[in-house]
Amino acid sequence: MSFKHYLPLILFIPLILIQLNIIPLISFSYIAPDLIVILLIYFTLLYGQIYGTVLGFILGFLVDILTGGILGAGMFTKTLTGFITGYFYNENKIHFNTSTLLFVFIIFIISTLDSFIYALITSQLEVSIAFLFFENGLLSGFYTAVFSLPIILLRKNKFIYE
Amino acid sequence: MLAFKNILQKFKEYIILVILSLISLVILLSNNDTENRKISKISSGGFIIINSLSNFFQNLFSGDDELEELRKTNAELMLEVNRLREYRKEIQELREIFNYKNENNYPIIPARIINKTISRVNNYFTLNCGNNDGVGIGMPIINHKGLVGIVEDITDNYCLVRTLQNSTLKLSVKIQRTNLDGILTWNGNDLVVKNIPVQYEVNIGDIIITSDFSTIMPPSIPVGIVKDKEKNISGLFSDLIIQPYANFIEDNYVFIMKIEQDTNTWKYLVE
Repeated sequence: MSFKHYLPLILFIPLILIQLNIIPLISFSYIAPDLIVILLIYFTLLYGQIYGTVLGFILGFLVDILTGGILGAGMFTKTLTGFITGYFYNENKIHFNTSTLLFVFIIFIISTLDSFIYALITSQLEVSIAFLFFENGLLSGFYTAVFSLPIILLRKNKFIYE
Repeated sequence: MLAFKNILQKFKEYIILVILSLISLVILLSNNDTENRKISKISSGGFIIINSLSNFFQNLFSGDDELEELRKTNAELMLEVNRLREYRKEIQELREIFNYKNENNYPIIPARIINKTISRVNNYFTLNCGNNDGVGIGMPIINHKGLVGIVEDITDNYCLVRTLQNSTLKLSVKIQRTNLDGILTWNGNDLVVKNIPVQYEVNIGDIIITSDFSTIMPPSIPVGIVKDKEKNISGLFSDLIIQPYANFIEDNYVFIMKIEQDTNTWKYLVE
């Protein structure tokens, strides 16, 4: 196992601390960005679909057991998220994919799906699927995408290497 | 054999996805297993210790003891005021019966929120009190303004709270002025009391409290006020939009009302 296998897990610890302590302070109308999805998508775009699927499974498991949510819901959602993100992986365009606005777009699309599927699994809301998609998926996806902007700036300036 | 290997090689992404998804779904479906809950409890307990360390610096210079004491007094007073309101109404209605209701002075335990999980669908937070502090599953969580949530799970030193803003929590409430009962739910945007017949008089600003019919909450805890009234498509019922008194996102200190709940009954009722 190389460093690339451990790095997202190491980064996961500070990110989940921020997610649980600081993000609630900047949540807007119960919509909060998901930093763990950004981490998952970033590393999937660097290392591919299989890596992303397995990483999604592990990160989902960790999120489930650490946040007190429904065990298995995050695992399933993040596994799918890693897998779907894998379709955006291109080993010849890794830098382009992670340092341009395309990265923000990918985050927006995938994060929207992630939030929507998670809401679909865990929700007992008596609302339509369209409502869940717009209110829980799109808004959350948009907020998460905004939070991924600093990554492309750092990547452009080569503060973050592959 | 070679063909099988080729298939494995060709579809390995899908095979991995299917295997991992199946594992996730099995865990998801067996969510209430004792073993699963144990794993979750042990892990979250360990993590919360790390989390608490990160909060250490936040509280180092804050000198919160006095403030916490004041908040506690405030919360007790809030409950007292509401009880008195209830008594006044009862005296008006049933003059011949004095002290009609039993005393329900529950002791309260101050607690600090150490992390919050925010989403449109299900919101939770973790408190720094657990079994060792006398906290039990099903105990109501209040702050100085009103009801915040209910204890869902506990470890020795921590407990997980299901907030009102959670699609899985259904709560029996009533309008204090008219004694009209209803079920409070979270619709992803607002707290709503659904299907109130239109002929009943409900005013904007009416106070909503927990109902005497609630099997998971003691009666007369303030929940919020009626913010809006929306008629159903049928025109026969209306939904009341409730503005909660307490906002767990902004608050960091809450109180646990120490009432004994039958854990099995509570779980049955809530799940």
